[in-house]
Amino acid sequence: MKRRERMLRGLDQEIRDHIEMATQDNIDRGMSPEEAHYAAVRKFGNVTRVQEDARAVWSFTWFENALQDVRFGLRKLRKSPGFTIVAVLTLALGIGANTAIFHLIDAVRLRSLPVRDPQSLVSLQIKGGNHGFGINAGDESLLTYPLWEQIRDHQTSLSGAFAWESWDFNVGLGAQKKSVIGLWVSGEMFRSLGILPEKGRFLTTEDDRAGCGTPGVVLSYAFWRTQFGSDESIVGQKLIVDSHPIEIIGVAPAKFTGLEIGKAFDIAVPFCSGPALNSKDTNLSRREFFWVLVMGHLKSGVTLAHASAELETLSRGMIEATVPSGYSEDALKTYHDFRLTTLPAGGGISNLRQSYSASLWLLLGITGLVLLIACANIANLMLVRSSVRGREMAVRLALGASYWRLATQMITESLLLAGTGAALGLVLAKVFSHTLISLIRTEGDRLQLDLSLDWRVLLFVSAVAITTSVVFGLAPAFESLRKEPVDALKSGGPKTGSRQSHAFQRVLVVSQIAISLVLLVGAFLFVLSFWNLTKVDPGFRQDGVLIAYMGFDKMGVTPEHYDDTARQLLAQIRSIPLVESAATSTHLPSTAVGLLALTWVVFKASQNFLGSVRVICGLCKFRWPQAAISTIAIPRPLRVSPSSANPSSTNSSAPMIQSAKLSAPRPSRTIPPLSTKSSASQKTPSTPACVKKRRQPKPMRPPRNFPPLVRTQPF
Amino acid sequence: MSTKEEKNRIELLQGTLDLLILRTLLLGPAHGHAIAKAIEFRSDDVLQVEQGSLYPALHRLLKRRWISVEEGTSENNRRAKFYQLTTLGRTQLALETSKWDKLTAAIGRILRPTEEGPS
Repeated sequence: MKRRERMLRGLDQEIRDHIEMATQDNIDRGMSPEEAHYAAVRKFGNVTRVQEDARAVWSFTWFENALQDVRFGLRKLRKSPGFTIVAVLTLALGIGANTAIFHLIDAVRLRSLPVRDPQSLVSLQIKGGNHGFGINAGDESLLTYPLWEQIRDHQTSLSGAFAWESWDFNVGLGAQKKSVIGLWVSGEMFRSLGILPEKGRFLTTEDDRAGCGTPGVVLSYAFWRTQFGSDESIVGQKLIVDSHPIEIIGVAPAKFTGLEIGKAFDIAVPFCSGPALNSKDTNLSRREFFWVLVMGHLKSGVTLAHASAELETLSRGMIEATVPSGYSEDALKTYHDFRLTTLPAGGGISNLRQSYSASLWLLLGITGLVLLIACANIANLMLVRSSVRGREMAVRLALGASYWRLATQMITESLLLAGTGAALGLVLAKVFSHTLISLIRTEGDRLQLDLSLDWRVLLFVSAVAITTSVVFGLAPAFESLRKEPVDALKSGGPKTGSRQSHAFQRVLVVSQIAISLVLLVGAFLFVLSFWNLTKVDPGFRQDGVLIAYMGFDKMGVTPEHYDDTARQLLAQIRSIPLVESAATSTHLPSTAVGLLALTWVVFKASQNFLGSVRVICGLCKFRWPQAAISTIAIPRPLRVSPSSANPSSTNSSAPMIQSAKLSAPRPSRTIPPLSTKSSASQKTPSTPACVKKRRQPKPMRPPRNFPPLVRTQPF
Repeated sequence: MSTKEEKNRIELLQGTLDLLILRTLLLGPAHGHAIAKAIEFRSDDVLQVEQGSLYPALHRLLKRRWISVEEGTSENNRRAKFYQLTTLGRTQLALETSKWDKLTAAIGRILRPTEEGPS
């Protein structure tokens, strides 16, 4: 800087001297003094320009210019608030909506699990599903525990095969008792996934041995933080799980929230603790109960096809070794035909993915169109502005501004605009993604997604929008480049642009209208479908219906007392004045969940009933662990799950199926659609509200996801 | 004056002017006006330098440390800035001159192929 000042000092004087010397020379040549002076000045050229150029050599002119441009740009934008607000809002909406949707898709669908080598992670399943054989705790990707033992002992193409399953546990005692999402894990899991504990250690194969009792429990980072306040000395303390104190042996790292997207686990216990935690539960030895997920890493050099082929060969032996008893020849033939296969699982498994994938892509498509419209809109605004500013450009050119200077001025203005838009878009993106999540989320189905904002997405969308605004923001400068400043000045006040820019603007307007029309029609169809869906008669009146859900097994009721317990319960509920009628059911109307251990009590009562629920509890003589009961009301107006709002399903020929999806906002993955073989569900619509309790041939475990109905206050 | 022609001329002079200044300073320190006059005089007035553009060029050279500046007294006893070549400038001049020679020779060969080519 000092050198710069030293060098530039006296530049004015130097130039004055120069002109004086030249004048003197001219006088010496015989010109009159006045003539000599003008000749010298003419020969020297634009003094101001020379001074500026000389200064520019030394200074960071670009920085000074930029500051100037920013100030000028802000003034300009303030002067036309209408334009500014429209442009900023357009950009913000485009950027915000796109980021939010893409972000959700990324979280649900695209992101890999935070484990070692997620690309080689595969899940083992029965080829083509298990065709409804035995008892299925979830979708068709599940296997029986004995089958897992066979896989563990015999397969060779996977390294570190492991099994897991999520399960509801109660932790704590008495009033503190609360329901948590737990994982049954095989000892190999944590090592195979290659994650390191935040604290203590993870469960190992040494822990997971038959008859191990309760060797320990691993907490998730979130559970450790929220329930134990990040207690540093947590390892070694005891956690009461299903009334059994278990030693806490470790805490998982923050990034690992389980293998199921959208369902973060709280605690993990080894499979072998099953018999100890629930003495009646013999799930580990049951050969007809499909409930565990098996995964593993492909060994290096082994392809998916190779692993599948090998498993298929080996699985004959595994299947033969685990044939369940008590089934007919026909049924067993299905079992004998089972073969195992591998599927990629690097993205984790996701209920959300299955339910919402199509809807999310559709949403992304729509928001992509919105972004296009936004860009066209911005381009148009900028072009219109350019024609207005033609005169200003001409004046500035005539005053000696360089083209580059004009261009940077325009770029600065566009960047100011786009920057404000992008900043607002960032805020909107956060709001949008949280809104979207809350639309999908239902009480009783805690949805946890990693929604830390993805900078790559934001950058991409912002880049698109900002580039648009900058490119079209340059239009005024280009326009003035084409025209002689004199012409622009002569043509008087603000005038419209050239023929070409007119044609381009027309194209923009036409495409904008076209895309908007598509969106409008789409939106109209959505609303129409939604309206139609709300009009569907589910076969019973939904007003004032409350549903409580209780797990008799968790309440310590033995199966032979289920009927008595239910009768007592009903009698007590009916005795409450506000209750119109009450009934129990193993199935809820329109959902087809059938569980013996769980009983749905359907109340018919007024809205004030909620208060009296507590009274019932006071009357109850059994324990009412919070985990086992929640009161649910079927809300009105009906909630539509996005999956049912997607046009492909609205075209379905069976309206009843739609109504099923409606009245229970979202069927969990455990619940087969109403159209499938569930006999109970086909009969239920004829018996409004009160459904008789029906005994299932075999008891099933509680659903993986509690059917998503609205939970009112816990009591 | 058409803006486009003006632009072309400035581009043509870029670099070339620097070279001319360096060459002029090889004869000894000089102030701005003297340099301009020398260039015009030595080119038999063919090169009409827009004299103002001399100063940004001088500052460019100063910044690259090819020339240095000193206060001095001009021939008519006025204080003036005298520019002189540095060692770095001398090396650069030699380099630029040889580059210029190559360039003009090459362009000459292209423009008048008959003079050297087999006719």
